Amino acid sequence: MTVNNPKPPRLAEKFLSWYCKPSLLEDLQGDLNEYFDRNVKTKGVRQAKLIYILDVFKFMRLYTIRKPEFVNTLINWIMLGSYVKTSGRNIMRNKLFSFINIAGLSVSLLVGMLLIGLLNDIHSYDQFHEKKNHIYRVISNYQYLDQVDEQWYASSAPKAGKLIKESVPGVQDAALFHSWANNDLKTGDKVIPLQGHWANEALFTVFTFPLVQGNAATALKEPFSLVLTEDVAIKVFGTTDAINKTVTMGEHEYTITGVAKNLPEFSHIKFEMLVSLSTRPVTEKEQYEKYELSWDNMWQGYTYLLLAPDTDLTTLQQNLDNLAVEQNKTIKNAKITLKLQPLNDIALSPQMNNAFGTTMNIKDVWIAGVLAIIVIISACFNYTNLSIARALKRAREIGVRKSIGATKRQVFSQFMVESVLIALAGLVIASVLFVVIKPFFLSIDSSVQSMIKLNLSLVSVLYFIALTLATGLLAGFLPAVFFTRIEAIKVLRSGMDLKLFKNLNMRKVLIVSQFTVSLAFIAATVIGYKQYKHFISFDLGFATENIINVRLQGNKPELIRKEFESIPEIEMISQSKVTAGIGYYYGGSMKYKNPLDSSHINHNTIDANYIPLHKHKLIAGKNFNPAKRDEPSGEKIGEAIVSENILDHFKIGDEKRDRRNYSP
Amino acid sequence: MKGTNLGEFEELVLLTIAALVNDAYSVAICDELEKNTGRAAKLGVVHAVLNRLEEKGLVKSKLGEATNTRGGKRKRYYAVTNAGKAALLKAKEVRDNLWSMIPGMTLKNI
Repeated sequence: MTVNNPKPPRLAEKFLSWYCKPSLLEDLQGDLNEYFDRNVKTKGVRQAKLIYILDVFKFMRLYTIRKPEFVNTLINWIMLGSYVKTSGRNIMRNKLFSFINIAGLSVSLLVGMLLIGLLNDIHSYDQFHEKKNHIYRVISNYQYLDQVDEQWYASSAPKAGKLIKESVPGVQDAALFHSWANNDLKTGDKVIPLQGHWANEALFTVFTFPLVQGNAATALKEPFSLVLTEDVAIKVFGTTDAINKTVTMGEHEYTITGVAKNLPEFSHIKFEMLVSLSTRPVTEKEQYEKYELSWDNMWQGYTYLLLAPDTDLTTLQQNLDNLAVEQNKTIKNAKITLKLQPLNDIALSPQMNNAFGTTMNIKDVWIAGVLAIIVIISACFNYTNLSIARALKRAREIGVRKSIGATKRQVFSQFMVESVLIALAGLVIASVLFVVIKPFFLSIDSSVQSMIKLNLSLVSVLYFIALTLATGLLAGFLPAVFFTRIEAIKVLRSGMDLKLFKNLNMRKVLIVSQFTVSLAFIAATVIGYKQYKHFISFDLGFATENIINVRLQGNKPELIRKEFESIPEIEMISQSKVTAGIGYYYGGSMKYKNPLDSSHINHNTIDANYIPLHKHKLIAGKNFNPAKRDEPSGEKIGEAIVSENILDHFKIGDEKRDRRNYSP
Repeated sequence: MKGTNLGEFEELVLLTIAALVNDAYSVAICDELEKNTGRAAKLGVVHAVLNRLEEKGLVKSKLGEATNTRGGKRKRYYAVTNAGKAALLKAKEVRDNLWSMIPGMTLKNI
């Protein structure tokens, strides 16, 4: 025999010894080796190896396969009890270590739980509609001349909805919305502001919004029909029995034709009332006739299609494309494309213009998800590092365990059980934190607040437990592998063998990555906080302290001012069109001398108190004079206070101030 | 009792073990079978039969000494038990009986 004797493939050998009964194993291995040697001589090494592998599989027969022995399972169960017991003791003995680990894991679990709760809520959106799988929303893309815009609009032209229902096969019905029908509803001496939409009668066919009162088929058919939700009906009339009662909105009388059951929380379509879409041709006559039914009026309408169950979406899309090509001829300068979006995808969809109802951007959720996973993994690294750092203490224990007959597997299980137990303890703390932090988390962002409830359900609790187990296993895996490798004889022989700590590059990598992640998070938090502080305390050039901005919401300013004046704490009141310094502007254009040179400006309309109230500094001129409103001639001349920028821009200053045209 | 009857291949393997006397281990049995019958004896098949024979109590086995060949793995040597011998004898007896019943001429003409 030569030194570089060809050896049988190692994996196959391992596989054989894994599945084969120990009593048969040695002889079988020997036989295969003998044949292998023989084949090497006659057929070459490659062939021999192949035959070896095939033979290993051929020997997998009922009589050779190792059977799971009852005794082993029993021992495993008994040992599990022992693992739990020793783990418990270890956790109690090293209180500081356990505390740090439990706290670390609980914070990361909390992050994971919030994410699970969020995803769970989003996935329950719109699931109550009976025909949810056959409902699609028509979304549109608007291209002006050659300016390609990748953004899709959730809205679509009412004309599109109408034409699709009439001419495209496979479309059973089309529910049309016209958004923003918000109005004050008056009955008797009650005035109640309500939010809602205009909608056509197909709404109740397409969606599952059951009516407790009224006929769903006709409720939104006639002009001036109004459907309220139960809560609103009770608020307005004190009862849900409100059919045929009349109310006033704006200048018109409306009849209540239906009372809808209160909306489920997880509905992206939200309303307190629905006005029949057929009302618009009457109330908005001028606007309606002028352009409401034109192909490019796609800004306020929303179309939801109910498709026949076996509709082919590709053909349907082709029909939509053809329709769009046809209709684009009726408009100038623009091209509109239509696409279908399944109802189930609406709650969590890519960013869309003119979004309708409550939706969440899928990108934000992805970012949140990735961050949560980073936090969890980082906490697992932390656990791994701390555990391995304690190897000195535990090495002896493992040595003793091994020398009294513990298998590698049992040592491994011991450490896995320990980390899972710590994770479960973390879950208990995380659950408490979850309840505490829930309201704060919900108020992070208005869209989160309106969409997510984070109520616990059986499913989410199961997910929490699954997350905990996964985290425990992930955190415990590396320490368990590390401890399993410890050799009993080395650690028991002469105190501690320092070689235990060699080859710990893995650990260094973990520490570095963990520190990197932590530093990044800390830096991001600090920077974010500084930015926030900066925004809040930035010197805008005018005073903002102790000033409260109140939105008039369409109320008469004189009345409000009178009410406010009677409150002694209020020192001064001023009125303006917009609140300055929060990012909203009114745009307008301004001309000076040259009638062709108009420039875009942002402006605010204010009264005389505004300047002193906000402590604006005028570098020249004086504040408006409220007494001197109109010129004697009767001609109304507005006054304007401009910023230095405008003077620079129009090169005013050297000359006397002159008249300028200004059209807001 | 079911299982005491010998199958044809089982009988061949049992006979080979008996013939090889002290050198009856799986690979040798395979080789011997191939030599005598002229047909390929697959190791897997022989192994299964050996296992079955041992279960039936017709053969017994013990591990030999470790050697340098076979990757240091020991061989399992088989020997026919008394029950095995009895089974072989019974099978022979059945055959001899049947042979004796055949009129000599019929077969000699082949």
